Amino acid sequence: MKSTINRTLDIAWKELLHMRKDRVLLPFLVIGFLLELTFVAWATSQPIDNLNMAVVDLDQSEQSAALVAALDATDTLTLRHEVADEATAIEAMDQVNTVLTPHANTILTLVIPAGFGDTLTSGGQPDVRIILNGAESVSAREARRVAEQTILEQGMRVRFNMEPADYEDQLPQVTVKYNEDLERSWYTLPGEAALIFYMVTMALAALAISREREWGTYEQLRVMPFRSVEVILGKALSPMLVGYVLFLSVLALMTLVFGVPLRGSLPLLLIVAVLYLLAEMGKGVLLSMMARTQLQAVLLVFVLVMVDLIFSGYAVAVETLPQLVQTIANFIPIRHWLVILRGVMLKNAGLDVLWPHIVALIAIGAVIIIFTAWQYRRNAS
Amino acid sequence: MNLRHMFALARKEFYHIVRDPGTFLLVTVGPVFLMIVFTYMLTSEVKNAPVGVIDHAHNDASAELIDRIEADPVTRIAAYYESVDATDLDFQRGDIVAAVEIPENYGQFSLLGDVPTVHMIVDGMEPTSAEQVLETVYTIADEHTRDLAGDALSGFGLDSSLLDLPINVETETLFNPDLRSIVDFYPGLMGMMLTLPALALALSLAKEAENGTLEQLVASPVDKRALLAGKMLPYLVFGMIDVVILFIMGQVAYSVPFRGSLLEYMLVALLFNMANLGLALLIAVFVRSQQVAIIVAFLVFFVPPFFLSGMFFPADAMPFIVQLEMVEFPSMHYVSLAKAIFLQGTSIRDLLFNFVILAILGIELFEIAAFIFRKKIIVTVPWRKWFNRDEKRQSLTQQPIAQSRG
Repeated sequence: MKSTINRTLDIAWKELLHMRKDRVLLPFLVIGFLLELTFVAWATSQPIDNLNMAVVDLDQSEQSAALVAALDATDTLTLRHEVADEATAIEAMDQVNTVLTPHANTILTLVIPAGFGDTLTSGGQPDVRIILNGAESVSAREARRVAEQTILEQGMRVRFNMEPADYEDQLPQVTVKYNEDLERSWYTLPGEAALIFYMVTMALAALAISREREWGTYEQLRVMPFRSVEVILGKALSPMLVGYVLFLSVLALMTLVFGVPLRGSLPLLLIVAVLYLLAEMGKGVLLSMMARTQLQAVLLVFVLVMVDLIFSGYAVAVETLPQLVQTIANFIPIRHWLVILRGVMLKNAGLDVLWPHIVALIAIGAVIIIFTAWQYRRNAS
Repeated sequence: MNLRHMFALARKEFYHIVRDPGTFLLVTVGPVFLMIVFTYMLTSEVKNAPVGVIDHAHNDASAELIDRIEADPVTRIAAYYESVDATDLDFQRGDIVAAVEIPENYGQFSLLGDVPTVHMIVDGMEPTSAEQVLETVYTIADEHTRDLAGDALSGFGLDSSLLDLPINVETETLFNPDLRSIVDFYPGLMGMMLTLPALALALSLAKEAENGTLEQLVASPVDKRALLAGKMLPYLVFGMIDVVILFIMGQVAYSVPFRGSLLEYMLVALLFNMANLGLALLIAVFVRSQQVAIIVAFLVFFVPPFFLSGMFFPADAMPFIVQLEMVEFPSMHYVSLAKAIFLQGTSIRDLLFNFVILAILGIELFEIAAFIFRKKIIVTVPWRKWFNRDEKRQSLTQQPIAQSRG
């Protein structure tokens, strides 16, 4: 009589053999998702710069030329057109300027009215107008921020002869913690890594039982002398192994190649990853039992991933979502895992801060696995 | 191509779709559901972000500043601290996302031009909401300081207009007055949702291959193009129904403006649908298992359109070589056309290049798939037999029924 551990390992070994046999699936999963991570890293680390700017300079004075030059000198804006009047400028914002990316129109048009220079030098408050292209909201917002700041600086320079450094101490002081340069990829990469890790392992786990069912070997599995927990854990173990290896490689990729800092304790992260995987795998096997075919299993995973994405804090911080969503989010493993992953990596958070999330992970995982085992047994009778 | 054959196959495929709840939901409810998830994820605005306060002043001015932060919809006051160091733990826990330190002499101005200013600390972990919170608190603090300074100047008997900004900026936004990101993303996202019927088509063909019924279809007198077109047609119809549903949803639920010609948009959507389904056929012709089809489809349908089509990240910020590469993907042309038609009311005539490429892709991808499909069946049969024999040596093999019989 073999022990429980032995029997669990037997099932896990059988699952690994299945995986080895499918020569396409695993390489595709691993290479495909690593490729995607690279894409995301690359796309989100691109600064938004060289946005097209058009100028309608009705003043044609020294001051207006200086203002245009100051805006052109920023990384964000680049002067592309000088237009005679406002109507032409608005029309030009519709126009196609490049063949390959025609929607990359003029993002910002600056209109400097006549008399701008005179009013400014005589101590008055001249007006300028900014026309934004709202069809590119992300770029437009960035362009507006930079333009307003540059215009303010230029105004201070001309009217009070003050450089930004001269009045800096009169403005609120700002310190940014954890992600000092507000690097977008530092937030998206751990999220993306967690998602990849989640999707790959879920997809593998979800196929575990539905495949047996489709091939008709499910009944055989049933009559074998395995206890339900042994089957569930055995089925979950091999996707976990793949998931863990994937996690390690993604972690290495993130920290070594893309420069996301790992400020906290690595062993803590490695241990919690196992707990997280256990919870997710239980979920995967449960789904797998609910589905009749492999196709259904994969579709169920797809839906579940989409739902989890809302609650996970993958794209936006959970703290900023409505209260109801925050409450539901507490029951979703990936939400806790993301807090732990980002907390350890960026905030150097330790057990003293993260323990509620770790406890939650263990509790959710235990409930899911017990429920799955119970379901499996119930199906048998 | 025999039209009768095509319609017969289309009817068979239609029954398949309607019979299987998974596939049926995937092509009908799927896109709507996915759209709700995405719009929710991508456009949620920061509300009631928790802010901590370190108040060293304890005077009327600081109380007023705290009230203003509390009153703003973006922020709320979550906790009070004695020192900046005390905030560390709550920052790590994520209980507060920003902290404002008010100096002891806040609100007290001297004629020498000493301006006491607040110090703010922001958790930058999530840059998008961090920027919003930062901007909000910064503006509140800056305006409050200005107001206080204005009062102080009047108190000294000076003109408070000295504090006016040197240049007044008026902002006007075309096409999307409130700069709502949903307006900008929606037309592109609609295209993303249309990939779901394509995914279902790839899966359906892979399923036929796995079950061995594809061989039967090939052996039947139906010619290959009628076979593929018949399989494609129901998905095209469902795709266009999705377009209509999503279009209405955008108008009603998200009030996305539509300024162009509806007919032109539908034409673009139809071509994009065809191109997508052609791409799906191409994938399915190469790949013979459902699992692999899902993964390849995911990589082809979701990754490039999402990150490289210019939907979220401006495409002109990308290297020229990537832009060139994207010419081959239908999604980039769709996004360009859809955005222009929706928001700017541009006519297809002004974007002829994109339209022509999209039309070529819509027709050509299907033709390529049909061409390869025919060759594949003839050429690969002996090779597959050899491959199967090799596989059988392993103890655990799964063979599609048709092949193991052969």
